[in-house]
Amino acid sequence: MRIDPAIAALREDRSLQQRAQVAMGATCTAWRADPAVAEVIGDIDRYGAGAPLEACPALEAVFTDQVTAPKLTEALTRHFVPMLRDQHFAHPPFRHSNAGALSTLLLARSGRACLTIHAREPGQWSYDLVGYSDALRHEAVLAGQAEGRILRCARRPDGTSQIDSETVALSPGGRLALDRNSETLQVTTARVRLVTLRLQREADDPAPSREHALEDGRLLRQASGSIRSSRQEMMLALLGRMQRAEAAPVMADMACEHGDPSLRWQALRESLALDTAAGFTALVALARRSDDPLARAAGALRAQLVEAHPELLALEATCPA
Amino acid sequence: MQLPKIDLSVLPDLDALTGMFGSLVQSAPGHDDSIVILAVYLYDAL
Repeated sequence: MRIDPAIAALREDRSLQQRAQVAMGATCTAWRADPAVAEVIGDIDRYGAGAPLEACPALEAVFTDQVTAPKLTEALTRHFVPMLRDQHFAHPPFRHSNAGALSTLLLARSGRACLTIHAREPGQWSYDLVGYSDALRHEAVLAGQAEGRILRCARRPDGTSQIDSETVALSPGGRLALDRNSETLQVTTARVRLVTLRLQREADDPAPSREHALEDGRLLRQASGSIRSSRQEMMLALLGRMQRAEAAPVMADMACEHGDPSLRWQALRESLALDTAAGFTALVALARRSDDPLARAAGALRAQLVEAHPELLALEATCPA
Repeated sequence: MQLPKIDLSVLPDLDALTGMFGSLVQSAPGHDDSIVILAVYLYDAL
């Protein structure tokens, strides 16, 4: 096996890599202090905490005028390219991913907001699905030539969804603002590598992400929009499989609190399986709430359980009105 | 009061199931930012 001499040197002397990382850290500090960057990063803190974009002037300029976004990325290359030229094996301090045609670099994150750079290699893409998530997205095209479409999802009076399409050309200087709960951008053709700067902020209490069939707008799947909610759901399942009956009253309380209906329903199911009294008391309380989205399902489950176990009627009689 | 033990498997799910965060099929790279958010979350949590 051939080992490049530069790699071999790193293996022999670990201080080389440590020095490279120290230099990279200094470069990152200088980049963050650069006048083209510092105010934008400060604004991301405010935006990520919930401030409107109009209250974050440096960040807003990136996604509205034609000069601020190129300045921001020019500062990135001005600081990091010479550094990487000197230190080939230094790791840039940005989380990054590469998935086929798409590369992503996370420049900054604060609270609910992320600022990323996306590069899409030339190619063509066709889609059967369209996805939506509860977030606001601003996009600035930095380089490349591509075509895409904005797909807008509207709810018809009968509850079904309609998808309307608008073709868009993507070229340097292009700016987009999308409410991702009802609007999404699909790139269909990239003739020249498309590079965009993207600002995304998740909703404070995000609704589920959805996937619709492009053909007729049918809702095919949905997934929790909140990573925290999914984490709690996994914790519930784990406590249930561990037969931790002492957790049942907490689960029963969760089922009755305000929050993600899917999470609350799983809390109810697990509490019923762990502790019949605690779970059934919560079930009855939910079934009696006319304005709760879980009331109908809770009423049906209550009836099912009472039919299978008539002795539960005695417990129901003791439940608070 | 003697109460029955209820088996989890007889308790129905909601009509519209909601998957875990990030569990939607990725129809194309860059379909949404779930993967970036998950990577950041895991990095912070571990």
